[in-house]
Amino acid sequence: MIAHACNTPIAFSTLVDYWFGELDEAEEARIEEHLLGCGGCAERLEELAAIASGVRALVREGSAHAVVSAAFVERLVENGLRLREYRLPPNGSVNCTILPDDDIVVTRLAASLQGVQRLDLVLQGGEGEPNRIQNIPFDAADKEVVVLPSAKRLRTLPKCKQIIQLVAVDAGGERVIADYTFNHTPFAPHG
Amino acid sequence: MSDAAPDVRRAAETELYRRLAPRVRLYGLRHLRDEHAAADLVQQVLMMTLERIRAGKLREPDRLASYVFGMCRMVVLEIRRGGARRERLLQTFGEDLEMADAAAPPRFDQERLQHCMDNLPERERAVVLMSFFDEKPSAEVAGALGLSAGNVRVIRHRAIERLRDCVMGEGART
Repeated sequence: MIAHACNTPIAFSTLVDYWFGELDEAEEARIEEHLLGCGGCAERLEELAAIASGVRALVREGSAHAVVSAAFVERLVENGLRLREYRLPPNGSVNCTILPDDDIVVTRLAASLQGVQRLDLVLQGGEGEPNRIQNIPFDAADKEVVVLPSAKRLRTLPKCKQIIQLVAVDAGGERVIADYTFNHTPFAPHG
Repeated sequence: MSDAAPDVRRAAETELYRRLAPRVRLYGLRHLRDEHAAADLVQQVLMMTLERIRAGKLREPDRLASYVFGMCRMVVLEIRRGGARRERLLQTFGEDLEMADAAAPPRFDQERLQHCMDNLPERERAVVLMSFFDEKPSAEVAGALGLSAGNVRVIRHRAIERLRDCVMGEGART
């Protein structure tokens, strides 16, 4: 009826496909009826739902960071998040900050990406070693890379200069596509 | 359950609610993508189920999951149409059941999740973020990142398994 132990557990990968609506109608109905009768499988789906909810919370509180798409940024705004956006041309620079009312900051780096096979992002700032993020997602047709930095981390930065470098990598080696310079000033309420 | 003494009946109904509410909530989250709407679904479906049990119309335990599944499908359609059967059901059952937190979602450490997200490879983190934020199928995420839908599914599976292992512990894998 509503058993907890399960003789025919649903694979976690199937639960993921179910959650994202990737199953056909008959398979989805089979899974749903099983989930309503099976505490064990429902518990594993609950884990997935909890992760989903937690990830959304990280985005909303400004803790998440990633290279995303322009369409995703639009959806963040549609969902009520307040956006501070910086657009930089290749080898451009900008004076930037984050205000208390900003939920998220987005930087849009214009770049010619035609023919690029793999794209790395190198972040240079302060005295430490540059941080190289390999194989970032991009759509060459967009002619830009959209970076969502952690707003939470930005709020802790002192006045500083940070440089993002986009590097194309292929079998023949690598080449710098462009540099982008951010002159960050922390918010000063009485300054 | 329908012929039992009130105390016994109440305890049985509360236990039934405790077990089924989280599962109906998940169905609601999957189809309605909204916590409040999912909570509405839980109340409506389980009250209708209890109403049927009290009326002696649902005597075969083996059929309970099928019945609840049918109710879930019907009420989701009703909620999407803005229907309101809820008030009448709340008046009948609302004070009779201890179910305030029966469908509360499990919680885990957000700092732990953030640490696990931070440690994902960039491509996996992007796919997880974009997939979960508004729970889009792989084809929509793929188009936005210059990937194929199949590729997004592979990356997403791998990333979510990693996240789950990291957040829940390695023993979570099945």
